[in-house]
Amino acid sequence: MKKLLDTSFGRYLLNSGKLVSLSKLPDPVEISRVRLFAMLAGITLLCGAGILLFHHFHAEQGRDAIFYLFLTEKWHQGRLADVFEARPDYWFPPLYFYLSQLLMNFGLSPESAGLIVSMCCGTALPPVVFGLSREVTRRTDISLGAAFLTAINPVLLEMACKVQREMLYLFLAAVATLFLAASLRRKKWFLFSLSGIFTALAFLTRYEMMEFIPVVFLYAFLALLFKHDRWYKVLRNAALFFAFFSITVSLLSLTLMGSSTWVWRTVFDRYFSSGKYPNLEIIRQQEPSPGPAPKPGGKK
Amino acid sequence: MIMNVVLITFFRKLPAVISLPVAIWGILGLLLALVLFWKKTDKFTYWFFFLALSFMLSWRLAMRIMSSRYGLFLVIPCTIGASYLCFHLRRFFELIPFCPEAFLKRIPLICMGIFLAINISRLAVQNTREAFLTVGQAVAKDITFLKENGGVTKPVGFCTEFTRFGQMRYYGKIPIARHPLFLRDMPPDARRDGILRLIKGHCHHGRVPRNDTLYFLVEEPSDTPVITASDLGVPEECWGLISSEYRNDRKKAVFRAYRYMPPNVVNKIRSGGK
Repeated sequence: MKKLLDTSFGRYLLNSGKLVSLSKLPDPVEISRVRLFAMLAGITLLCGAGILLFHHFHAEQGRDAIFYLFLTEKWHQGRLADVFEARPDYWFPPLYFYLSQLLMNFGLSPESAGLIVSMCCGTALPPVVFGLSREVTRRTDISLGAAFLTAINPVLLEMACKVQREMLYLFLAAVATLFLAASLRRKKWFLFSLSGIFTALAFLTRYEMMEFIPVVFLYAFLALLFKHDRWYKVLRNAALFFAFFSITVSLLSLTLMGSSTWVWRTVFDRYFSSGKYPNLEIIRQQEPSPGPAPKPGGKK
Repeated sequence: MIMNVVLITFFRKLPAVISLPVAIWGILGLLLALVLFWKKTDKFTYWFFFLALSFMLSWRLAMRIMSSRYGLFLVIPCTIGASYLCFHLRRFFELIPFCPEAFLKRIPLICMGIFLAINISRLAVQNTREAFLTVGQAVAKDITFLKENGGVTKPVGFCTEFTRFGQMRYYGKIPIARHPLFLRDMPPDARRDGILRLIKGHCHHGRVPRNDTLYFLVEEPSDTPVITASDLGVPEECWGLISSEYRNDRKKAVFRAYRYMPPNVVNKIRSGGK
């Protein structure tokens, strides 16, 4: 480095001050609110158009998507026991299937319903990434760039035209991260609560969202260590996050999967029992209509 | 071993879900931000984001990301990092003497344009459902012909790969049972033995065969030769190729539907179902 600076080019860099400015971002580009809104709307429309275009070229659904269609259809028919029987070793997060079967009430096929959920989440993702980037970088131009890159990402576009849980999960996770990032800077308790709610929604879509739990513990530890806020406020914020997370998961699980206790017994039996799966005949007997006629004397 | 896991994760699994240019640009941008913001931002913010991202990456590395979708959340920080680098790149180009100001102002736009051009190239390959539909229709037509000519009295059996049977059943509209038949990765001799075992089990098992007819729906590399009756050692009239269709525009894989009928069923069809 010293040899480079001894050269004429090195002296030019030192004298012009360009080496010093290497570590600074260029000045932000000033964008009016109207123009910002128009650009953001344009990026969102571009994303939507890209998703539709990708669907035209990549309309085939994969093996997992076909399985999800089966689950959605069975749930729509009210045959939740069949859904459990399809994968007795795995309790799947229900939110995506619930939303898809809800849309089937409008006369849509399972594939159309699933696609609408994925496509809507994919289209709504760029504005969320814009907001998140703005909270982290505090630069509008970089955030617009991030939103644009999200809108043209081929992997995301392809995933948005599949009947998969990924886009719903990514959208909810991005919103949860946005609220968490906003709460770190603005220190508002309701932002932590909202982050907890959306973390719960994302957890009900994919289990990976559990990684936010250690991240919140990390927030509490670092906030206390560096005295980011008063200790009781830090603990209050973390407690609010976990409280709203737990309440949302509990309430929604009861709502989505039904208030029947057999659902919870099934779920907990699988994970905490001696390893034997509950007899699904008993589940079918307790299932509300429509369902098969109850058989006498089910055995465990 | 750890290095292998890191390399495979970074250069195969993560780019599969993030897209390679954004993954590389994003990681470079994040590393640059980590170095440059070392003392410019408050400690809490810096260490929180650094440790949170490190944790998210490390548990995925520890699990060796079995499926690329586990790395999906990382697309957000990588995208923000890539955008950050696009804007910061101007400072590096400013080191070049007499670099035009008009070019410097448009560097982020040029970078975005390059990303857009790379991404559009993914549209070049069409991956539609046509292969499943075509093969499914050919099989359905063949089944109808056999039933009308009295050849089929027992349920028709289907054998397909485990990864494809769902799509064949959904798009091809044919009732395929769950009989995994892994033909693709098997050497030719093992594949032949696998088919013969299924034929024997379903069409010639003991006194009462389970099926009159067996259809094999398989995905093979395009350069794989068609399986013939002589490969299997069965009579020529008992084995045949019903349909063959390319998987997508790349034409590297092909769907094939084969049919096997026992000799007595063939004779029955020849005699008009009597």
